[in-house]
Amino acid sequence: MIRLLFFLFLLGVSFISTTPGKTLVVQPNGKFKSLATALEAAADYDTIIVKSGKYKTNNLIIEKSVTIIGEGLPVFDAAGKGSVLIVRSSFVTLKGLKIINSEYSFRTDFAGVRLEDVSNCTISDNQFYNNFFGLYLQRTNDIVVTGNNILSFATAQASSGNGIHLWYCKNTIINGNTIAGHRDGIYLEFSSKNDIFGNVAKRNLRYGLHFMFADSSVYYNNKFFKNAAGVAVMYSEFIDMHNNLFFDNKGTSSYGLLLKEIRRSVISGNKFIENTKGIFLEASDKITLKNNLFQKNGWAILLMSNSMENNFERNTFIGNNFDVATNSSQNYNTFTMNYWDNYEGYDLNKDGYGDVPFHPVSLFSVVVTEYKPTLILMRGLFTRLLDIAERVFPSLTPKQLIDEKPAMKRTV
Amino acid sequence: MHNLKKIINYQLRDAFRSKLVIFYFLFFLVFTSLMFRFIGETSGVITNILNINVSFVPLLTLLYGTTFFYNSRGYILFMLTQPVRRTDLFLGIWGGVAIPLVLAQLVGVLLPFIFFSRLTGDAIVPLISLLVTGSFIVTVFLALAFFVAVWQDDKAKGFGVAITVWFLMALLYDGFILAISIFFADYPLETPLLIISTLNPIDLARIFCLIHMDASALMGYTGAVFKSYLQSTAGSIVAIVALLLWTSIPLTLSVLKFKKKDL
Repeated sequence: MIRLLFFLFLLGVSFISTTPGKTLVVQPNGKFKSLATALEAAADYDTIIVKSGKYKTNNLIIEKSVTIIGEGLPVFDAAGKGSVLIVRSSFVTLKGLKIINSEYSFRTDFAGVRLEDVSNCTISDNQFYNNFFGLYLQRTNDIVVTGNNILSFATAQASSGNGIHLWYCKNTIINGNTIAGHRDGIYLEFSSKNDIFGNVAKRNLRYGLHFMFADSSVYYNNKFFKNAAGVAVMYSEFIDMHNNLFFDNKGTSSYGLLLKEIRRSVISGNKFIENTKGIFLEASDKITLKNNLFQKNGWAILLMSNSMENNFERNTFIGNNFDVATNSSQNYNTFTMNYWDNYEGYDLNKDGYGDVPFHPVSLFSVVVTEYKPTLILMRGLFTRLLDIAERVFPSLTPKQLIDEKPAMKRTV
Repeated sequence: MHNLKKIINYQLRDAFRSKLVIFYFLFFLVFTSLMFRFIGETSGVITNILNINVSFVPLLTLLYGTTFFYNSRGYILFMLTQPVRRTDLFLGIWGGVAIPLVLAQLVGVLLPFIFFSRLTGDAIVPLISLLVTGSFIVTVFLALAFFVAVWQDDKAKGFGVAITVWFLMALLYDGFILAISIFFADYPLETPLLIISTLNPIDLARIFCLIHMDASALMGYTGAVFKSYLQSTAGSIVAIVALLLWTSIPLTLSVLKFKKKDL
């Protein structure tokens, strides 16, 4: 009986607490002419509807758990002074707003929307335009960022901010956003267990997606193209990267995917197409790369000698200038069952795998890695003859770096 | 001038019936078509034709050119009994060989492209640079072949020299570039190497093509340097002028020698 009463009591409490509050309407000629006045009148769990119009907003602090929904894309304009909205309460929802013109600064990280020490907020379907940082999350938990369009016009790395910036954030879901023209599209620092999927990051000055000390995160089904340098994953463990597209990240020091000090991660089902360097691995260990497609890259894989125990399995290499390049004559990584379009072996027993091992590192790629200007000899008769000679009698290329079971047909 | 036209005219009639020109045309036609069948992708096809252009074509034109000149000895002696300027005769014979070969190559490559590819905007520039450099490779090495044949009367020695020329330009020169880049690895070599490469028509043609094929855009800093030089209008003009000089200088020298030569 007591148990039943307690249950009813709980039910009652939960009913009261989830009862939706009142709804306030902000419009240019209504009772509430600005979001600030509406916020003053609002209580926790109220809903504020903002009708379309232009609202000048600087550093407006949201300290109540309210839902703010824009109707007809109301514009919140900081006009180059400070941030636009600062959320300091949990359970806040921002939806359908247009947030523009936060201040550019070298000292303070002004942003379109800042979330500070909060949890369980949702930022969805907003437009961010010409902000220094788009969305800035600091020490947050369980935030959902979905369907936002984040566009800025950064010109130099030093004076620009990131599209979505996470600093000490846990369990963030970042889904379906489009980020362009920032420094990094999405930046994670000291942030673990985040899910990043279905986003598009393009034309950013530095990386489309940038991990620093962001363990146990997952990112998939994202598209990264025309960024100065693709995606960088640094100093992290247990990262799962799958089904992403890395396309057209070209430039002097440009990568599709840059891995630095990454361990125990999985990279599968990604497509690396037309990047200067498909994947660059430095000091990265115990990574499984499988079922990826490398097509028409300058270097498909650049494997630095301090990377060990990585496993390249069932990847497909087509039309790359260099399949694998390395700066080491040793090899502590395994390559197996990959498809190489440069493979000239045969398959007598018809098991689908070539009978002769394949050496993915050509002599010319060793030479170019060491002496960059020799690139001018690319596709020449001389280099081709050298490559053939080297393939017959390997001397300079790493002898152990071979694919014992090269696939005869594309794996992807 | 009138005589020059006449000579070229007769030479052309002769050449278009020659087996080698027909073979040359068919070779490019079949090769390009097969490439489309097996690779399918325009840039891959262009790369493969480029490979032919920088290895097989120079050798073939060198050998064909020298042979042709040696075999025309009787014809030359006979023509010189007529009131024909030696310059006209020489250029006429050269043009009579060069024009059919260039045409055979152009048409042989172009036809499969028209049939098998859509010739979209991306493919046009690489294709044009391939065709232009390919034509220049033919004219340059025919000029060199005639140069060799004029200076060297002994047929066997002539062939030897021709093959040596090919070996030097197609292979050793690249080895020389490789050696330079290794010896002077501590210096910024991009610009010097670019200049050295333009001194060799084969390398120049190859780099010119590659740069217009987007392959170099993928090659980071070095690729970008080469691209910035050669893809600009000025760079393209310099490259074309260099290839023109490579044709005209051996031709001029040969003409000068031929004029004074005691046949």
